[in-house]
Amino acid sequence: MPQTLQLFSSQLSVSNLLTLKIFLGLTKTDRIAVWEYTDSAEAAAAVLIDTDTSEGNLQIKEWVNRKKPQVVIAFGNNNLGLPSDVLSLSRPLRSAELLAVLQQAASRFTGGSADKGRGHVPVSTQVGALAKEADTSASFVQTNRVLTVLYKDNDKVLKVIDRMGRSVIFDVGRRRYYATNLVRTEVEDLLASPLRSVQIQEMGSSELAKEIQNIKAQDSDPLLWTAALAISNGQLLPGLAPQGFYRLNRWPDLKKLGADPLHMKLAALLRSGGSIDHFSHFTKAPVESIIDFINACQVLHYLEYQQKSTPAAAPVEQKKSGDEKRGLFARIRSRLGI
Amino acid sequence: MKQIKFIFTGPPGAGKTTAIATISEFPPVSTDVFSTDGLSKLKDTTTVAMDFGQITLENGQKIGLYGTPGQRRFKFMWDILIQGGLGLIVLIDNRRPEPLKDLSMYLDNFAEFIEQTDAVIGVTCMDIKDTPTLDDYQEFLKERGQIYPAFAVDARSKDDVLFLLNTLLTCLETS
Repeated sequence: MPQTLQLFSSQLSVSNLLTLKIFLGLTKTDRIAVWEYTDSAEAAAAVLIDTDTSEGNLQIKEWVNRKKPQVVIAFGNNNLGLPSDVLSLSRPLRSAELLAVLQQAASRFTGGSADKGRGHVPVSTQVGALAKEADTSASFVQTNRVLTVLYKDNDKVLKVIDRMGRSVIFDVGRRRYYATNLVRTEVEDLLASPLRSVQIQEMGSSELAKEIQNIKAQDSDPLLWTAALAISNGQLLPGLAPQGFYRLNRWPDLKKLGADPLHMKLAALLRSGGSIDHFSHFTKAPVESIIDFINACQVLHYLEYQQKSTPAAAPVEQKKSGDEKRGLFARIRSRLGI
Repeated sequence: MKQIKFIFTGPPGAGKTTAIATISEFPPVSTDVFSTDGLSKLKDTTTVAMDFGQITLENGQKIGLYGTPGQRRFKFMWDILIQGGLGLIVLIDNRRPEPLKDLSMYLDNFAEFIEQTDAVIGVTCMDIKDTPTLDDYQEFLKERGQIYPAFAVDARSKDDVLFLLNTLLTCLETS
């Protein structure tokens, strides 16, 4: 019987946290240690901290000094100089690397018994075995997933059934879904599942009417948006290219989908369009975050895309007046607490 | 020197005065009169000249919050009020018979001002009447070749009004 271990995280962005939770689901098939997410640091076997934030940097030092039983995992681009007992996981969050680190964490937490259970299988083979149900990071988003089918078949009613026989009905055209025995996070997991692990049936309108009696319709936009952000992992959805020209055809309802300041800024920039590099340069945000947003917009059909990038319009403002405006806006935000 | 200000516009009853009241540091100075036309079924008074609220920044700078009179017949006031405006907040009452037509009228009449600044749209009373939906608003804007942020808002909610203002500021920063 595999042991169930819990992981707590700190300072992770919303999209990385969602990705992490989905990746933890990949350990369900592991014969030694199954990982679950917990909101309690004390209950956790391991603590994952984003060290690319100043707060995260401080926290990791505190955790090491506390000498608690939890295994500490540093997640970030610059993990050099960390104490030897801290495990390191580099950005972006990739399933294969995470699974390998979790195996090491399980081994440390259990005092090596997890390794004994695994025998002398090299880590790379263990990762392969763990990840065989899904895909490794390089092709994670490129693989056909339930989400990909939903946004491509945008006028159909599809019933998705998982291996345990639980089902969700997506009325894609009406942007609704119907779930009876799955909570929202489970439906998100289902959307991130590879196609081969589910059954998808197309439904007619009479069949739909019969099946959804007494089931409340739910808005599928926030669900698809969150799932797209979570599975992006810094890679564009199939059919989109890094050098492409991207423009919004409508403003996403960020009040409903989540008011991330970066997303708001990207939506404003994407009104006039541009390339991923242009958006990254303007917002000073990592390319992977831009890609996450573009994928989410694509899934909800908010995006117009041309394969070849055209130069974005140059800012017309003088630098001085631009700086003055930014200063004024910052003061207004500060005054209003936004 | 022109005062820096945000302009709130929209049909009578959409919540302009209320929205200004939620963020102004003093109760808005309003030039309301008793409604005498069909509007009296919806509200007792209506703004005939303007609403005025204000916020003071840490450096002492005053930012005006101006609400235009809703009715088209006061358009001469709209042209005066937009002088020095940073951007436009359009509030649309979804209970009215033709909210999309209302939106069209305000976007057309403030077109030049929006061209120079930017605009956000807040749709009020969607909890009372849920059509047109926000998708319908976005589809309508798309047909006009325009992309503006549009959200369901409650003009009494400070968070909602600040969300609109924050979105407008973000649009202005990136334009």
